[in-house]
Amino acid sequence: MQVGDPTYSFDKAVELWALGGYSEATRGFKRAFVMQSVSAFVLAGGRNEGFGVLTRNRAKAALPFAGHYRLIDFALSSLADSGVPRVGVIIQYLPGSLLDHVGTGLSWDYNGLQRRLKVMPPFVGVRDTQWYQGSADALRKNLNFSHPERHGDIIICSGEHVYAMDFADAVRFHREKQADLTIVAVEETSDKPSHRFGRVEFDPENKRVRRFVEKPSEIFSEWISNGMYIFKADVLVRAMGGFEGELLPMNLPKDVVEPLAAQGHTFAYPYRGLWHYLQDLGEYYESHQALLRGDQSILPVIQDTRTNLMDRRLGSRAPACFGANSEVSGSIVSPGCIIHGRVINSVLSPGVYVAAGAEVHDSILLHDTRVEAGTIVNRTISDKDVVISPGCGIGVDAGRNQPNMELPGNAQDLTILGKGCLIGAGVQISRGVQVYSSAMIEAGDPALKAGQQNLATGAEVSTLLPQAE
Amino acid sequence: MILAGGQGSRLSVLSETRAKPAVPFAGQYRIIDFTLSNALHSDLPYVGILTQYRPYSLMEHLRYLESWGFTGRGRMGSVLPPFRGQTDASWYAGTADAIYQNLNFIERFDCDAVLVLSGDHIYHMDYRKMIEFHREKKADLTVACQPVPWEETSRFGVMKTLADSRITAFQEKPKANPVSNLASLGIYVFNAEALGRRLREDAPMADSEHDFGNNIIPRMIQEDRVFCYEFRDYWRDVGTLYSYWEANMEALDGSRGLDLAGWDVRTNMNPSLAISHRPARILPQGSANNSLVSKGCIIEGTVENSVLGPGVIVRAGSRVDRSVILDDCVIDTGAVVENVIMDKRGIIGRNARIGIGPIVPNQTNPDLLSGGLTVIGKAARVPAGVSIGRHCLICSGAQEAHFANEIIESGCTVQ
Repeated sequence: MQVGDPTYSFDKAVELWALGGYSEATRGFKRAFVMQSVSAFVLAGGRNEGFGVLTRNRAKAALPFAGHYRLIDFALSSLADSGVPRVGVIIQYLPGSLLDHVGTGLSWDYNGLQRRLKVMPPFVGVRDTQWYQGSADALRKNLNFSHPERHGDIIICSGEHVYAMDFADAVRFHREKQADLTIVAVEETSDKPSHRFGRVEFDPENKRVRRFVEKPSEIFSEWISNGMYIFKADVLVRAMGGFEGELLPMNLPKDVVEPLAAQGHTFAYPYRGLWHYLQDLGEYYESHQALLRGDQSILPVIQDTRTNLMDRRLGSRAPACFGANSEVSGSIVSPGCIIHGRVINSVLSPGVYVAAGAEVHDSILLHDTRVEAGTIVNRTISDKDVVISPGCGIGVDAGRNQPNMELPGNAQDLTILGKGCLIGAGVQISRGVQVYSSAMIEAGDPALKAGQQNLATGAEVSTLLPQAE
Repeated sequence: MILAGGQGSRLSVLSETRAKPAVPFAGQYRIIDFTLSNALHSDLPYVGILTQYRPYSLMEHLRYLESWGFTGRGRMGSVLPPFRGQTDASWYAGTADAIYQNLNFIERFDCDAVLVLSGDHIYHMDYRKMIEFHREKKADLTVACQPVPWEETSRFGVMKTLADSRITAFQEKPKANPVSNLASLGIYVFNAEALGRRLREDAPMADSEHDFGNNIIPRMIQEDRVFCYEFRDYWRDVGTLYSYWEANMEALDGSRGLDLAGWDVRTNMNPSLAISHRPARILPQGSANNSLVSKGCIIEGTVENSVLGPGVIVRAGSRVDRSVILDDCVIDTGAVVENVIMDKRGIIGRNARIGIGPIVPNQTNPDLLSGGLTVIGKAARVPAGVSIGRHCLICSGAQEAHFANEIIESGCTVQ
């Protein structure tokens, strides 16, 4: 059935769609109809301590990933591909690079009359004089962005997770169940239950939620909430006004989802697709290793994800150039890379240069990192614009047994080089060491000799306010 | 004004469905990107692009020229297709006629100099230096030139000059007795007033071909101040399949004069048009040497001395050598591909062997293929196990049914 069909009606189209009465060929069409009344909010303002210098100058949602993506690309691509026409991106913490990257949303097709993306920084007004006090607070201050008639549904999702999700299917479930709130639930596969997520228990038959607790100490169900919710718009609006006798909600899972789940009309949408949460540097590194292994639980995420290639004019970098004597294997290589040395089991972002006689093993090198001749780089994450001079050894030496307190436990055998740092000729930096952004490290540096694990010499001025990259 | 209507018939299947300026080059670029990037880096404020032959893929690529910075106040780019007016014939009769019909486009900018360029050459040039030279000489026309081997003069317009660079004679593609080996590069700076005057004078002439090389320039040499600006750097006319392949090979690293990264060549990075945005993956058993690998490629086999466009897949055990492979081709397991130009979306079946055999002239088009190249047209599917020699031409869309034998001898054409 198409628009020109005499038996066509909008309601019938929606009804047919809900029953799955359309062929694959009309998926885009039916999606556009059903998703017309859906708005989404992407939470991208959070602060995260687990990434060392990588998040000193940028929000976690702006972390580069798998070459030329940033974490927020996964949320925006999923929403765009699901046909969600209105997306609000909530920002707060170090939004500079995020603003540059998201732009007007053009890269995810958010342009034209029907599709709109808006970035939502904290603001002051007549009544509001504060930063966002939590996810619910941020939503409340931006609710008028969603469908003005207050009907339809609102998706809340994270801009910091790695996923490729069909929200249209979740919305269909939500409407079939006529739910006030649908919690997207993911089965926890790990043997060690995590305490970072909300936990949800539901009826396996009709999927009605029996119990939801945010970050509980008790493991009462193997289903966790992945931070994505679908609300009926009017339900969310009412909830934002506060429950009787309570203060205004500030934290979405704690102050809104928990009470609503207790009231009854909440369902859990069991999601078995691709989804990863990266807690810290160790998991960031491990997820790249999984990509390199071709792990099917993560590799498909980069198949259909779009990113903004205008920033740093990534889109017009030359194709990657492999020199006559280069040796590259098991690696991801972005445009603009020039490789004359060895690159094994590593991920290179655009513009990385590896000189003849240099070696890169098991590393993640972000944009425009230069590795000069005779240098060996091993198990290293280097941020953008890092220069490693000739004859260095980075991450070759195992380092001291003493843990680096500024790095998470699972990153103790990695070396982290901050944005724009310059490693002088012949410098040896062992594992578990972190070099701050813009630091200049030279051989014979006293800090290096003293075995300091967080190096901030030369141009690094720790009193400077963190700046957007 | 960029002349981008050329058919490029000697590029055979590559220009079957697209104008020559839109032919892909060095992986992700199209030939016209080089001229447009020069225009961007030379701070030219306005460009007009004259299209005629098969403009669709070109116009899709150009869009509003935002990829080359022709946006905002004071910078503008327009695509100028042929049109019908009260007195104008519908198609551009020649290069000069194309500019003549768009004189009102030029004159609205009230400029003093007009660059007339060609959209089908590979080079990097700062036009500002040439314009400066043009103004210093108080020239009516300045022609960029470069010495070429004497035996190639018949492909170019050649000119005779005085010590002060003034041009005294011009021959368009001389068959015999060239006056010199100084060839025109198809880059002209005209004094705007002189250009308008000469084009208006030429337009009503019945015996004129309305061509710059044949009509306008020879007449201006006699009556106006015409100078020659010598350009010594890298410049290639990729008009033949062999020269196209050779220039691609010169792009492999920056040392042979063609430096993609150093020149900062821009292309249309519009996400909705780009084929693939994934970074390239080199799997553990794969390797690439002396090659350009575009985004989205997956390499499990061996790639040497080759240019791979976006999204090319080279499966395990296969080998690609000295070849130019355009977007989204698949080289299946165990296949060998040597000395090949392969248009988009082609598939080489398992264990097929392409470009191996003696060098004999192509039977149907002996002049088209040289240097041992085999050319495979758009979306052609070479079945598994087929062996194809050198100087073979596999036409666009060829499929299993078109391959009568398992072995295609050198010099054969598969329709």
